[in-house]
Amino acid sequence: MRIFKNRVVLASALFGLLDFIQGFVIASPILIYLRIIYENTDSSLHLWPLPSIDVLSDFLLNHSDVFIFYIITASVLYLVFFFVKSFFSGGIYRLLILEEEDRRSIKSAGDFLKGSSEIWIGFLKVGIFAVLVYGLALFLGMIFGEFFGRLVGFLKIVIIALFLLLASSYLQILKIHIASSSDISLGTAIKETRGKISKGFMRILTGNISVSLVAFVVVLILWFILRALKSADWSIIIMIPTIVVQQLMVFTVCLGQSLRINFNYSIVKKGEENALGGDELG
Amino acid sequence: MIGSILLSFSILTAVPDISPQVPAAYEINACLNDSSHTLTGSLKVNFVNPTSRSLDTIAFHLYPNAFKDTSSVYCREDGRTRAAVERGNVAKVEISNVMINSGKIAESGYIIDGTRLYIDLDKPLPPKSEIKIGLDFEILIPKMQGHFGYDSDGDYLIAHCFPILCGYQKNRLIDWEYHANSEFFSNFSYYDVTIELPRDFKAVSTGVLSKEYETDSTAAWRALADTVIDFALVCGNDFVEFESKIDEINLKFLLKEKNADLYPLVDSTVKNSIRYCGDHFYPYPYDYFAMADAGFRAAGLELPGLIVVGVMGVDENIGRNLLKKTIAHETAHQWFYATIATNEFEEPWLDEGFASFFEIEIASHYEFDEFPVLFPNYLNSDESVRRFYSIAEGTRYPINLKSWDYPNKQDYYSAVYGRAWMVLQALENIMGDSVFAEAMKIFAGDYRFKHPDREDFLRSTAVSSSRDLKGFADMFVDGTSRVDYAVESLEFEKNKTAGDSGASKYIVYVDVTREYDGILPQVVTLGFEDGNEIYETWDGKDRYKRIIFETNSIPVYASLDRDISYAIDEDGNNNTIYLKGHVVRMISFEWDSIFIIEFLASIFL
Repeated sequence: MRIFKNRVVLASALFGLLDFIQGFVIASPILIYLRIIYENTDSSLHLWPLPSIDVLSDFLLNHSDVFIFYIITASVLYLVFFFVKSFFSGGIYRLLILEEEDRRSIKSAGDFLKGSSEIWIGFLKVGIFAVLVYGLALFLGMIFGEFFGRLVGFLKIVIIALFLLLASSYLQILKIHIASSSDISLGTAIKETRGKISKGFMRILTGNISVSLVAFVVVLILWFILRALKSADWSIIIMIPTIVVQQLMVFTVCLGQSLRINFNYSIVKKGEENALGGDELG
Repeated sequence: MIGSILLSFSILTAVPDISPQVPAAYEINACLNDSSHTLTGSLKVNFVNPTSRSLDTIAFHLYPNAFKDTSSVYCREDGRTRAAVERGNVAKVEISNVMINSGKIAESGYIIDGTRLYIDLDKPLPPKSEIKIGLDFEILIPKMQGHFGYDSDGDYLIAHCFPILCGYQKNRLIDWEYHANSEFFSNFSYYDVTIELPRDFKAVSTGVLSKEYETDSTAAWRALADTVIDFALVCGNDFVEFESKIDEINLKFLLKEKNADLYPLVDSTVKNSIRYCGDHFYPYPYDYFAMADAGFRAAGLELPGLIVVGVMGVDENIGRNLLKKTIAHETAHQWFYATIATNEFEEPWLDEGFASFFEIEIASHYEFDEFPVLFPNYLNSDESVRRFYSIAEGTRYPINLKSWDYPNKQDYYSAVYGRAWMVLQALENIMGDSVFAEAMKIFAGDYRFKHPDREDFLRSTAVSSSRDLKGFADMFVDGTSRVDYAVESLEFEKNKTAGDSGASKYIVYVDVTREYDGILPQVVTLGFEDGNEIYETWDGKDRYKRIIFETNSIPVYASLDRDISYAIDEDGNNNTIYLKGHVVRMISFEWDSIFIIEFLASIFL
């Protein structure tokens, strides 16, 4: 698979795989239960394109204990997976940002895991710090969104999304610093990236917005395709492309994230714009 | 009758013939002061004792006093209203110059008790005897409180607001205080109302409304209404007026300027609703019908010959659908409230439950829900949401409680609107569509311009369907029975005597159970690969029953109430069992579920 020789594409696929595993692990407990109670009933025929309100309400009304138990289980699974995801994310970040010769030294899964383990704690710290950063971004986004939303209603959502994107970019830059320096101190990362961010702020802003906008448009197109597929009656022939489109949507988002990581790295570390991962696609 | 009375009104001096069926004739003269938000005027009413006993006291409703201060029953029951009154948004009605048969009554001769006025009579009023009562009133109108007030555009909803006689039902005076949940009850009456409004105001009201004369700053409007239970008016200068006609009924609409483009939708929905109810009960009995835009979202108010509906916020499909359903609901009230005038204080389910039921029937008949959205089943499911809400609220309270006996609005709405609709739907399923429709038509026809109660409804329905509904009423009207039937298992075996001539190849066992105390008859359906179905009825009384079928092919599924579908059955998921599971369907759903988490996770990488 020549395309996976490009580190951006490879990283996107790995991010996508990680997300799929996360979705699978978190959804499994409730899906197993639903399989047991729905598989032989009429309700299984009312799950397409989305579960009908009656199916959902009957589940919530008659299995509320299971639902509450699942919420707790899913929260625990999310927390557990947070550690796993932080671990593997470190490895994927290294794949994206290490220089050519350093990257060549990752020859096996063992090397990949060894590299991940070196910066795992740093990524965990950023993951916890992310709660604060996203919270602040949401708070500021809602305040500014409330103000601008009065001018044009749609602006409220745009402003909130912009602040969340800024938060996400900042967190990526912190992770980039940790992955590239192997220094797991969050304080050092915050201090050392401050100057670089202020110097290249406008380029970081425009670059991240551009990449996100392109990803958003592609996801939107895929969404419309998904919508068209879901409008049809259920059949295996419809089901398969639906799954493909859904996974393409996830991959597009992951590709956008990888491009942004690569772009942010090139701005913060090298001072030049390079989002596509060099000439390896060719 | 209506025509002759209108003719007599037009002569002005003539007073309509009042009788125990239509025991009051009002003449009201009032003036609305837009700057002080007051309504000042006088009221004269000729009243005939409709009961079989002498009356010592005459009682009037004084609804505005519900918002006079925080000590009112209404304020004690409703925190939001109490807070508004505390902030100074008050209303009240002052009464003076009380006259009985031209003789002035001293202030000691009447008392104002909360939202009621009681006038003591010097001598008892014998049955069918007439009395003339006069009084002056001054009403302070609040910013929209309950059912009346002025809105942010300065438009007025003047409903339940004039001093109107408390009604009598089956010889009993219905003189309850206004409660936060309760609505209205009075007897059928004639109204001749002249009201002075600012000159630039547009208006719709109960009755036939016409402009009498204008001065530089005001215009006098006169409304004549025959055999209605109340008089109400909506007026203001922020409206666009539309007129239309269906059969001989003049339709008048006041829409806020910003909502004027919704007129075609509003007009067609009103016409469809009138047509549906006319076909199913009896023709709309008045020659006028008005609708006013309330200026608040997703709410409606029924008044005689007039409905008030929130039109705002309907610029999207779901809002338009809600608007249509609200119009259908309020129009159905022109039968179940305005002309089959049940007691909204004590038996609110008899009008709200019926209006909810027929709102859904009208919506289904005219396919209100047809609009192109991504996932129609989510946005079209007002009925499902209502069912969920009602079941989730639980069955702590029966539907036949007095409106104030529900401890809060959630329980009130859930029982009176939601569960009552489900109970009527269950009744329809038990009786069958055509028998139920006929029974409703007979009930409506028998109680047109009367004040039926629960007993009347159940008796009428039982007679016309030839069914004993006592058990049903005990469980679902007066009781809080819950319903859940389930198919526990579906098994089959080869018939060992299949070789004999005429014997079936398979014996199929379907085990069904009743999970709760509510009992409803069931139809057990056995479905086959070729689409054929065979049925077995079950009275639903046993907790467990094994139903045995003899068939020539292996069944695909066994199902309970597959076609009749009781909304009140709390778990539809257990009503069907398939012999083979839908594995691929479930996998498809599982991929969808995983995708949602996966996609969210990818965004917050």
